[in-house]
Amino acid sequence: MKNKIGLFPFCSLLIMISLSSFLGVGIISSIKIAGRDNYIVIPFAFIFGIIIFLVNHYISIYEPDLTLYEKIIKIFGKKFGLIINILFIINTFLLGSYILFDLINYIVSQILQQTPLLLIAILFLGVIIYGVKKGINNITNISMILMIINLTLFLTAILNLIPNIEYDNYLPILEHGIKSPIVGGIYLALYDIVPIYIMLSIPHNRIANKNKIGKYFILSYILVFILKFLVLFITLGNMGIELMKLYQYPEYIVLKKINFFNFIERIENVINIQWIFGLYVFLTMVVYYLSNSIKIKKNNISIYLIAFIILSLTFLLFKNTTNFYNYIDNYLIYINATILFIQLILCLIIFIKKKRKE
Amino acid sequence: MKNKIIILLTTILLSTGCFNYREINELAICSAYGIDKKDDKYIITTQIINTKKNSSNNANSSDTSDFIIYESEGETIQEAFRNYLLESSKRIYAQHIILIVIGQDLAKDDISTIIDFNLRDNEIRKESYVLISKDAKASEILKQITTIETINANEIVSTLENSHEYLGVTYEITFSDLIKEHLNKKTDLIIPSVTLIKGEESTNSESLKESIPPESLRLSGYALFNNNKLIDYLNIEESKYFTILQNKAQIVILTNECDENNHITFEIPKLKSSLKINENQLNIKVNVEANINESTCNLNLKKEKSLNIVKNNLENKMAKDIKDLFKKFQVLNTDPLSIEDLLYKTNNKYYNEKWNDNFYKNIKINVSVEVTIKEKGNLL
Repeated sequence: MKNKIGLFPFCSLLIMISLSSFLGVGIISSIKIAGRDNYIVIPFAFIFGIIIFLVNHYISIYEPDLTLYEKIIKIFGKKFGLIINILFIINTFLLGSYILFDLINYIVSQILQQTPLLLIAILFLGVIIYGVKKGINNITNISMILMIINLTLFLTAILNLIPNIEYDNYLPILEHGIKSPIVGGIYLALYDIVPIYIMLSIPHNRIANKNKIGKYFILSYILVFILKFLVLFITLGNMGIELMKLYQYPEYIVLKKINFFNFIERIENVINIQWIFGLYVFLTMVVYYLSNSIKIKKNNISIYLIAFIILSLTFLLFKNTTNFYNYIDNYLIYINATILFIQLILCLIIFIKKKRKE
Repeated sequence: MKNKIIILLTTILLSTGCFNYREINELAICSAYGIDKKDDKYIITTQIINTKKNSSNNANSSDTSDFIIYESEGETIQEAFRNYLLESSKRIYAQHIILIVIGQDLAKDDISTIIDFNLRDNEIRKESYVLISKDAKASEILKQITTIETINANEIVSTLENSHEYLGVTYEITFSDLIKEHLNKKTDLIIPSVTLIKGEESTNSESLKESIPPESLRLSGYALFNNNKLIDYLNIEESKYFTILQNKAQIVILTNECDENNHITFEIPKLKSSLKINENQLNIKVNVEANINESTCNLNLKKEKSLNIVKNNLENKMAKDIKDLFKKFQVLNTDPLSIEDLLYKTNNKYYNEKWNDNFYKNIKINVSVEVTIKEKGNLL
């Protein structure tokens, strides 16, 4: 009997995955779509995200002993199931490569300007491989510990930045009407919530106290959106839309304003380590999902292989940041929408099967 | 076990922090830099802190300056910066830059050309103060040896901060503020300026041996811009009112004439201003708490009536000066008070319907100043 995963560590995965995805890509997309009203995007993303969230939960409770890979095979049969699984695997590889690029690009552009991207990528993948080999219990526990550190850093930043808010940075509210925040909300939900399907690689029955999971999961979901709202609201209040539009990582630039009692300054790199932690957990879960789906006899080899493919894809797909944002703007949304569509079909089939049984 | 060793070794090898490291003795710590333009080429003046000055190895340290000036030129700012390496063996370390001085000629040409480089470079901190060198080149400002502080940039920055805190002339504008204003198309830039007061027969280091240096730096009023081009300057008095209207003043010193050749000086430690625009009517309200610091007037300030006269005179003077300042902005067609932005933010519908090129010039202004006199010093 494998060890059960605690509810709190499991829910921390949702927070880490959704939040780190938002900090990299979500913010930029919200700013691009909604401009000055970027923080209004969050309530809409919350509403649309609930649908995606419920879809994932519905799939999760069906055949609670199986992983997503096994569920797909069971629902669609071996041949068609394999095709669907390959689609999920390809998407997860793409997901892994864009997260890895986002992570190393942030480090190279903001902290270690002259260090080769490859060096940082190898370093991170090494730690990720080690984490995945230790098993899901360790991954979730690490996630929980890092989440506590992250929330502390978040709170520190928020408390320090709130007094610097200039309220006229929010005016005029709904500058271009309500349409752009709604569209932004849909995009944000697709960017940030769709990737939580990788958590379905953990069978529902592996979670301890699974009766309470709904409540814990909803609380985590609400917490994530409160944090997202605060990030956008405070960044906009401190920087104004002009500067937010300008920078690649506005949520990092705003941290440069942190100043405790006029002697603790320049701590933006310490505070923003929370994003690196988040991406680490996210990427570890991606590799874990893939290692569960691609099973070679010697499981360890598959982990190395997966890491190598992610690394290669990262450097093949994204030559520079222009390339990267082109992918985010023009392709990622459709890929995630396709994944959601497949998940909806899965739900529909599960629903029909359940009805037939009854 | 084997895997653990591999991971441990990889981590040790990759995370030593030695990749492209720069030792402190290999750095040229830059405290300020200036940008001028001559014949379509940028001239960068870098002020490097002389780290050898106080070292124990340097016996003749008192003969050398605390900072060293390098000048280099190039087609772009980046190129000019790097050309500095033709003269110096150390690469510039830009994290400690506290001041950027922009030459008047470059500012008259187009200030936006300097913004891109400073934004892209991630070593230059965006919190450095920005100044315009009025009637002088940026290089002349940075070369000037200062009297109180040994590093020129430190002296300028301290002067800027103190004049803001105790005189209310100009407030500090950081590079980050500059970018924000520059990107906002509904406002015009405004930057404090510094000028060189030239004396007779002065040689820089010799001048320090006298108690009255014949050549010195002096903060001047704000430089006004239109479309990123320097168009004019505010004088000291006008600059004070601009700082008041921006709610950035901490303490302001204002002097008013009370009767012929007699003056009364107020210290204003507390003030609040608000700008509201109602269609094409700009309403400015300023609330002031003033202390009388000096008076040579023939008024008995013990009497309520006299105090009211003083108070009313100050209110009228401030209202008139603020109106004149705004009219100057209208004549020059510059909007450093961000009136267009204010209308856009507070009455978006009206703005979209009515705003045109002539709207700003036709805005009517109504100023109301309310003065409360609090203290009169030690005298009754």
